[in-house]
Amino acid sequence: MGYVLEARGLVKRFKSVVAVDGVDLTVSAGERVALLGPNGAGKTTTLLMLLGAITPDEGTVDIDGHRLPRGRSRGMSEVGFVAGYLPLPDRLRVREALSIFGGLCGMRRADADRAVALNLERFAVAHLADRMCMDLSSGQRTLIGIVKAVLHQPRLLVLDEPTASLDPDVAFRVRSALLEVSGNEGTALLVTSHNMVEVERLCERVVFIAKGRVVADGPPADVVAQYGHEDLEAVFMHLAGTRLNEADI
Amino acid sequence: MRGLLATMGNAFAEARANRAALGSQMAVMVLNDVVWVVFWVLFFRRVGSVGGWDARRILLLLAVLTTAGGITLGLLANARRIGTMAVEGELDAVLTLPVAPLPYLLLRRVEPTNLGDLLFGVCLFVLSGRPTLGRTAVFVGVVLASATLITGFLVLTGSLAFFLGRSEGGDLGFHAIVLLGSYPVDVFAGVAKVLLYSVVPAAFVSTVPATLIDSFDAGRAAALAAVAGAFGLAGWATFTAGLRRYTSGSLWTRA
Repeated sequence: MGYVLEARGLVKRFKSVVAVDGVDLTVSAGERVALLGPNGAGKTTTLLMLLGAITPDEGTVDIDGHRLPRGRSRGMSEVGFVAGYLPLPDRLRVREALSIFGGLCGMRRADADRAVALNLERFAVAHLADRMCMDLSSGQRTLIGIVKAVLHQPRLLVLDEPTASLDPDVAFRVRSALLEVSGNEGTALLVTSHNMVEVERLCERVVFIAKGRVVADGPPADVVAQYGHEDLEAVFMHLAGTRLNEADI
Repeated sequence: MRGLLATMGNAFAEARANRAALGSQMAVMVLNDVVWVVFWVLFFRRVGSVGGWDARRILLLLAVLTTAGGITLGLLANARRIGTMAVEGELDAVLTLPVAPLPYLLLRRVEPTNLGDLLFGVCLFVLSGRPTLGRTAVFVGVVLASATLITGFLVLTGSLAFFLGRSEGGDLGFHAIVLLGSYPVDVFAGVAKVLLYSVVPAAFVSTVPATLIDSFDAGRAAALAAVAGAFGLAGWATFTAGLRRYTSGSLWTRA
């Protein structure tokens, strides 16, 4: 099975600080992977490099075979990105904003409109279609952001804390819809989250980063066993604690 | 191409969404430009001409400058914000989109105030530029070249921020090209004149285009096209090289 995302030997330095130190990360088609790590571990920097927002000092990123940054446009056309902080055009209605984004991804107007209707329904937010984006709550913006990200049927969906601003029932609905997207359309998921319960429900593989390096990579149960804890949350605490202890020294 | 058209559509849709502000901002800029016209007409009524430039020629120069400036600063409004966006880390969201970053950025935002310039410039040419078919064709051509030059120059000076870590270069470039372009280059002499034909190519923004409309010369037109193309390419190359040095600000704005 080919890799939708293949990052090799990623290194990023900010002056004398090595934020990411030789990270390798692959995501296969249809795979659901969590990228985890305590604050300051290098997770966000890694994510920014995977998305092409910053250029690594060393290493390569290929998205669906397109190497960044040269193949950025074609590579990113296979990626949908979801994060609560992603902006929406405040002065446009939801339907209009989504349709325009579909055009940005190269979709014909009619196809974009059809995909908008389908996905608004799928994520149970069809009632927001004619609302102005500026009038959406934080949770609603996240939901519309998810609709926006899946609109063009990307091969890879990158989700940064996708349910952080959602009520538990809505978060459950979103997880179900994401699993449906992944299952039906073969979309790979790369998720960052601090909610380990969510990770265990959504992902079949976890990659832990600490101090800019990958320290564990495998199915959740294997990683939990590797560290001798009872669940992912305990592993997370362990890694964060290790970092703090070493920093104290 | 479809993506870029969608980007432009988005920018206009957002500008249109606030119709009252769109109209009033354009009107204010038109009024501002009318004041300039009144000033120049009164000035040349007193002095006759300066360095071969009279009221009619200066209005033609103003028509070229405001139309070209209106295209760059109105339709490609982010051209003058490249430096600020680079330094403040506002490019993250743009870089994750499936489009070429520079064309997207340029088309992403419409500035209603400067659309007033564009409207004014076209009207001024129609009213005072003796618009025959031939002169209109030359006007369109030189305005597009001038707009390309201004855009390239602003992207170039703005993109220096990727390397310098400061955005003043973009602001300085903007003020230099627009202010110096609002005067005929013939009022300058010596080193200043050389600079206006080279480092800060304000002469090619307004004086050369206005002269071409009055007396077309193939050699001069080719020079204008070459300079516009060179600055366009230099802007693109500097921006592309600069992106490799871009450090996220994690702002995720819509640019």
